[in-house]
Amino acid sequence: MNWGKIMNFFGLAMLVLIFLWSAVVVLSPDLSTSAQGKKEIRFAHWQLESGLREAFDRVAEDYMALHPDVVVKQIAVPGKAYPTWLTAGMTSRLLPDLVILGAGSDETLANHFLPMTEYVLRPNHYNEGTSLEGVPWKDTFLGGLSSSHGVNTLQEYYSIPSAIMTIRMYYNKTLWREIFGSAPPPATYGEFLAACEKIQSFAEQTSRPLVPVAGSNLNADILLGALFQSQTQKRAIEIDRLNSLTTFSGVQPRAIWPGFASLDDPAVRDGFEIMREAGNLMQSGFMQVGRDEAILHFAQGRAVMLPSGVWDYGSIVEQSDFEIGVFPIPVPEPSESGFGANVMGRPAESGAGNALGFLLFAGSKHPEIAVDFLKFLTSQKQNQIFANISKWPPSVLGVKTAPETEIFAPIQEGFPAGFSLAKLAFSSGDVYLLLNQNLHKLFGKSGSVSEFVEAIRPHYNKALRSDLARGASINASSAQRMDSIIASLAVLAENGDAEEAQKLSAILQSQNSQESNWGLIQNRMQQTEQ
Amino acid sequence: MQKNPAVLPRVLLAFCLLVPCGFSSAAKDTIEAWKELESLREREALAGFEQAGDDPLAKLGTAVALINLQPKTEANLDRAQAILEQLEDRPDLPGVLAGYFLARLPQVHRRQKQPDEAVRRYQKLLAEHPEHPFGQLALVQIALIKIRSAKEDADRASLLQELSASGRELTFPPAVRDFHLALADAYADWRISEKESLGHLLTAYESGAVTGNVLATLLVRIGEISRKQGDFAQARIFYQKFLDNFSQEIRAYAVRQRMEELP
Repeated sequence: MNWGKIMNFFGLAMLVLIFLWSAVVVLSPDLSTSAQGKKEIRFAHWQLESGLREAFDRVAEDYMALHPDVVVKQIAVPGKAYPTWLTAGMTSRLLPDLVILGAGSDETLANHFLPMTEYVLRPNHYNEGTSLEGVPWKDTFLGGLSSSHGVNTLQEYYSIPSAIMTIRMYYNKTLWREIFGSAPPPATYGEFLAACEKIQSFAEQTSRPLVPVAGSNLNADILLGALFQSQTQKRAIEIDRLNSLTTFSGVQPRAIWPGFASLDDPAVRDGFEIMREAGNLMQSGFMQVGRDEAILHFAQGRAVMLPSGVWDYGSIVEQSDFEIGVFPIPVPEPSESGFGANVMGRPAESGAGNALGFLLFAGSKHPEIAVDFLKFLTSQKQNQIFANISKWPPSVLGVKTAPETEIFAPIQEGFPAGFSLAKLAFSSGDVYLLLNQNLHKLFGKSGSVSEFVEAIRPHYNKALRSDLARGASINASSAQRMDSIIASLAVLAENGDAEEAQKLSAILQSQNSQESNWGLIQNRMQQTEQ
Repeated sequence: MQKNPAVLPRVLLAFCLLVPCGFSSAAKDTIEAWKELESLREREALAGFEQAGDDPLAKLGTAVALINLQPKTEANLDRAQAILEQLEDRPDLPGVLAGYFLARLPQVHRRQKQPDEAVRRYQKLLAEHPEHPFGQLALVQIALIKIRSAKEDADRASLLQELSASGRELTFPPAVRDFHLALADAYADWRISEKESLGHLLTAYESGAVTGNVLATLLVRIGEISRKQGDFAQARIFYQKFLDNFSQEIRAYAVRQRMEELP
């Protein structure tokens, strides 16, 4: 073994040791707390953006003031390390009492977390004296708890959201005034394009390195994804044979399919066209850079606008030494010529984007206190305090978004968005890969929609089939596991347990509707097999 | 005018009428194991059932736990099948559930799916226990299998008519619901008849057992097809039911718009 290999091995070993040490330190409860006779609960998340930790700290302080025998600790783990950290915690059974989880399989939920169904069906006592007094906890959230982990498969509520996530366009107000005087930000896609054109002329005239929109893989996905979906909005309703007035009843995986939409569908072509148009307003090579670089680009005054979510509000304000403004993503209005023809109206954000949802770890030493803290956090009074400090829109009914971020409050008066083919960043699947490998053919001076479509066309059907087969396999696996629950509930309901009987009915509905939905997709796949 | 059926009383009543209530003392020993199984802890459940001895419910639990024990193996599935076959001729709950899971094995659990074998097993269960909830759920599975494997050039309309006729005897609300939802989806997805699809959606709604997101979509679908068919009064009723129950849902604004546009 040569010296280089020894050093590599030593470095790796040190890294593993440091990770294990830090994981144990972060995951283990503080012994000094129990020595003081106090009960400790800890909650963990990956949102390190400005304002959020302060907001959580404030709610924790208020809770501890009300419950002097309890210590509440916040653990903020960097996003890149969070998945590994979470897995290590689940394996060692040393997770904090409350954690945030991305997508979790039914098995992960059932094995590592406790359902909070029995709590959410009863009123949150911290809402006494408010308009939500006596209302079951689950009905105190904007859009209900319909996106809570486990609710659509295991028929249990596993997560409680403390905020809402929406996306908007940030802009440099100082620079805007320099270019546009007192003109307001664009309200329509046409105005947005006109503004971008003027910014490009301004940059040319002043020889300033300025682009209209700062982009990165994530930020481009936010803007271009919304624009593409604006173009498929009417088409999604047309091809939804189930008449469900939305795209989530299965249209998405079936959208590009004979008898439905195709890559030559005018709405789909317009979707690519509008992506190309907006993508060309970003700095070159935007798909190769990450979110931090886009924010830096914007904060350094090299771009006038930045599409992003409410999660970046604190960081953007902190990093920028100019005044920040925010306006809704400028999707085409139905009345606009050209792209407007495909649009029903602004996409609705109600009931979508529940964020910062905490799950209760099955190994929690104080589950009752942990749930009580969640009730406190999502009470009308405390959620208002949380929203005021974090600037994130609140998840609780009757709570107002902080004045500075009122523009992020979910749009209620809108229509369901159209379908998308795949996300542009942080996704998986063969269609996602195919699109990403060919996006360079869409953008830039030499790019075009035709070139892009012709590049993906020969491989699209295979990629879609592969994704659908994977989707069917995941669904089958979930349906298989439900059999354990169905058998159990059938036996337990025999004892006359009303709750178990109702749960059995709900889980049968979930299993059978999934099998019906995927059965029709698989039927179509078999019929069109080449 | 449609009724607004309550969910829980119907489901409960169905269980109490169709299934003899109450646990035997031996079965009580298995309750903890069933709770482990309900939480998808098959390994712990299996240990609990094996300790409970020869009670039929313990045997049934052992078989179901083996079916989903991870990692899944054909040997475990063979063992589960052998246990279920010992139980299936019993007239009680373990016997009926054994028949049901004997059909689920070739339908979804075996690596090599055998839809014909699953249908044969379900038909046997339905013939032997036509009034039992799981006898009736067998018909739902038969419909799902036949729809999934229907050939493009086959007479799909006849298949759906045949299935529709077979569902007339269903009384267990979750079976009525899932059977008619499956047929409604097939009628709509295969573009055979929106009118037939609407009829099945209404029957599913009247079962009183539709809940959650499925109910939200069901109400919208009935409203939408009624509007297309020109039954504006019915469309208005179901749009309103949706708004009354799901006012914060992502489709609420679109549904309000639809209502305003109704003549």
